[in-house]
Parts: sequence; C-alpha cells; structure tokens
Amino acid sequence: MSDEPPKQYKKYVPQPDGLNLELHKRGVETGLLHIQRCVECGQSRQPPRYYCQDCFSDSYEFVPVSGAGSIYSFAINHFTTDRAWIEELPYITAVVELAEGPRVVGALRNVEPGDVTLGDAVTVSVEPRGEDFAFIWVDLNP
Amino acid sequence: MNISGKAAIVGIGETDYFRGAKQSVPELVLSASMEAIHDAGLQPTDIDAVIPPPGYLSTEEIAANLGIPEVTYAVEVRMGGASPTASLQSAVMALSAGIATNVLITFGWNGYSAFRRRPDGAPNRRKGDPGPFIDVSRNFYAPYGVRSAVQWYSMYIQRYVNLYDISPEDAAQVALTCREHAHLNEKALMGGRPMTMDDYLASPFITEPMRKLDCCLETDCATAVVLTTTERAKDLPHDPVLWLGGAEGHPYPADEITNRPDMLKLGLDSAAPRAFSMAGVSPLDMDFLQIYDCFTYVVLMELEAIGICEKGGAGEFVRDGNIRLGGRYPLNTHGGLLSQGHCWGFNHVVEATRQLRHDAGAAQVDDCELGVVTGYGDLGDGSIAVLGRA
Repeated sequence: MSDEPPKQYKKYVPQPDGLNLELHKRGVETGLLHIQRCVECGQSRQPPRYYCQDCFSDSYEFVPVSGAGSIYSFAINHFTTDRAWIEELPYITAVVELAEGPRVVGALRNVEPGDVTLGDAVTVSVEPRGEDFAFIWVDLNP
Repeated sequence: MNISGKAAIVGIGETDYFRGAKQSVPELVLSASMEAIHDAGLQPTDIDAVIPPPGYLSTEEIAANLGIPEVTYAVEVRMGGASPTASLQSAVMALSAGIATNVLITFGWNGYSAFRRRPDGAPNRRKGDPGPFIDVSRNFYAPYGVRSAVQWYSMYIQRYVNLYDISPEDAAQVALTCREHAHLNEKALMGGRPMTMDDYLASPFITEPMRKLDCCLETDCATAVVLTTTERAKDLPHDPVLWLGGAEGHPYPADEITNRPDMLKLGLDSAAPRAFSMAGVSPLDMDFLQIYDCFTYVVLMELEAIGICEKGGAGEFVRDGNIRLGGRYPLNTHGGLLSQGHCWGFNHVVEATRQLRHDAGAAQVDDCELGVVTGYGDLGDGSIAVLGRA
C-alpha cells in the first residue's frame, strides 16, 4: 500500500479559444448564460459560428438570455469512462431548447432518472469554472 | 458522368477478431490488405491508390510496407464509422475517372487493446483520428461527463424512442438477430454464445435507453477490399461485385448534434435517396441489409433513413423474423459490429461481397442479387453503397 494520498480527480474544464472563448468569457464575467446573436438579422445561434447561417453576416454579439427553456432531449448516464463523474452516477445530461431558440447542453441536477420527460420546463444558469469556462446547470422548474 | 456500375469489388481480406490481439495495428492492417490483394489475383505492384484508416496508418506507410511503388491517388475519409463505405464512392470516382486502376481500401484498429491492454498483448500505442467534431465535443459535451459515442448518440436516441414509442424489445430484435447470425460465422467473437430476450432485458443500462447489449464490441481487427474497373474485373478470379450506387451524407451542422433543425435527421437520410436513385433500384428490392450497428437503436434509425420503412416504423419492421436469415430482409448476416466484431463497418462490406459472390457459407442468402451496406459515424455522418452481382 502506498502512503500517497488518493489522487484527486477534477471534472474536466476545457480551454476554449476563438469564439468559444469569447462566449465563455461573457458567462464568466457576468454570471449569466450568453448566446451569440447576429447583429444584422438578429438570429441567435449556438455554438458560436463565424458567419450567420441565415444571412451570412460576420457581425455578431453575445447577449444574455433569460435562462428559460424546456427539455428537448436528455441522456441518462449509468456508466462513464470519466472518473471525475463516477460518484455522480446516474447523472442526467440535458439538451435544453432555450426560449430564444438555440439549444444548450448542461447538467441536470437534483432529479432522479424517471422524473424528467421531453418538454419539461427548466431554468438554465451558469457557474464559472476558472477564467475561461462557464459550466451550464439545468434545473427543473418547481 | 454516371459512375453507377463502373467499378467492382474484386478482392477482400479480413483478419480474425480479437479482444486483445497479439499483433500491432500495422500488422493487422497489412495482413488484411495483402489478403485482399491476393484474393483479387493481384500483386502489390498492381495497386496504385490506397485509402487508409485515418489516424492509424497513412497511405505512404501502407505502400512502403506492402511494396506499392507508384501511388497515383491517396485520400483519407474522415467520417468515423461512415468512412469505409464512403471510401467506396471515392474509389469508384478515381477508377471511373481513370486516375487509378486498382484501389486498396483498408480499415483496422486496436479498438480493444487501446483501452484495455492485456498483460500478454503487444504494446499497441496507435491512436485514431480524434474526429472532425473534436472542438465542439471538448467544449460543449465533455465538461458534462459526455465523452463517448453511446453518450453522444443517446442525446438524440432518447428523443427518438420517446417520439416514436420505440421499445427495448424492438431494439433487442437487432441484438438477437446479429447474435444468431454470429453463430454461423467462425470469425465472429460471439459465435456460440447464445443471447435470449431475458438476457437482453437483464443487461445493465450504459446510457439510457441503451443497455450493454445494445452496444457493439470493442475489437482489434482489420479488413480490406480491392476495387477495379468493371472492365478489368472480368479477368480476375472472383465474380465481381458491382458498386451500383452510393453516397455520403453529413447532418447539418455535422460537428454539433443538438442544434440541428431536426435532431433525428442523420446523414444517411440525405445520402440514401441519392444512392438508390443512382443505382436505379428501390430499398425494397434489396436481398439483404448490412447496416452499421454500433448500437441497436442506431440500426433502427438507419432502417428508416434508407427508406425501407416509415419514420418510426423500424420497430415493427424488425419484428417477426423479418431481418433474420430466412426472413425477407436478412440483416448483418455476419453478426455485425454487435456480435462479429467492430471493424468500422468494413466487415459489412466484406460480408456483402461474400454474399454476392454466393460464397457466404451457412449464412448465404439464397440467390441474392442485390444488397445494401450502410456506414454511420462521428456525430451521425452516413454513407451507403448499393451492391449487386454482375
């Protein structure tokens, strides 16, 4: 047996660059979920892209969104190769359709498998993890 | 230019399927390649184009090791499990344009040993292509503990089963059928290991709705095929298997699942009509189906995508023995990725070729003339080939 302390496994924090970094920086700085929006035509999109898929403009901005949305789909994870997530099993990953249109992927918390269905109303929030990444939480509305 | 029927599969090669191979990835890939070249009645010097398994070996490495002195066409197809069947299209294009005369396509990997090295196994350090969607997956999925194919695909399969009332028993038909067919294939990893519906339903969830027995097998293996022009094929030893039509399709956006306008639309939905139109046949004309079966539920979605049943109709389609040998549309007659082993679906192309040569042994579909092979990979890319006897 080794005297070394057990290895600490932390959840993976990405190191985004380019547009993804811009998006996450806004979330970290404001504590609010942001979405990219086309300055020309007003279309929102996720993940961020360099040109608008509707009008092909390269003018964009990142705007805060309400966080209101609904469950579009979800994955109930009973097994993971990611050791940082093993203690969370089973954990639910939600695909949320935001009121503004785009969909985001986040961690659904405080819900048992079986208690979530398509269309459930949810609220999405962000929690900064370091300086460059804003983790997305999803909560079922009471 | 109409390229339907302009080229044919004339050689096939296939290693054994291992869960812990003693050979390295290059050894596996090169041995399957040499087998395919010899099966075609050719020598390495006859090959002038090579399509390799992206990330594992390069065209140049394969050419240097086999002794292929002059390469006129080298290309890699980066669509994950959709790559092999899409590669057929690229090969036929090169052949019918006169850019190549004999094309070698090969796929192989250490799909088992890269993750769980056996103590007696050879060091197997090759790693594959991380995928064209790596930027999205590492920034938007991995932070939430979603890092593997079963997890990515569950994000749409959960919606699929909910919208169309697809039951576990329907998905089980795919798993059970592949297992039954594996018993007829001496190279199948799960041959001789029966599976019942009770076994299936007792199988633990990996990512709901997918259970362990919905998932294919991590495998070390390699496969290869040689194609040439239909004209040249007449002089070679085997009955040529004609490429009658094929296509690839990429969902939009291909690098991100959740913001597709219709998350249930796969690349195969757009590819399949183009392929059948090129071939001038209907999916209903097929004598067998070799469908990319990384996961059972993906097979159900693909059956709908190729148009052999309605959207949401795959559950009914797979019931009552319809997809078993002896049924109208035998599926994965070699056992598939689920029960033969995972060779990126190129084992499906090898099996389709055997079937159309009428050389498929106990799994032979009597008098088959036409068959379809699909590929599926990355975040829903699709590929398809309609093959037929000359």
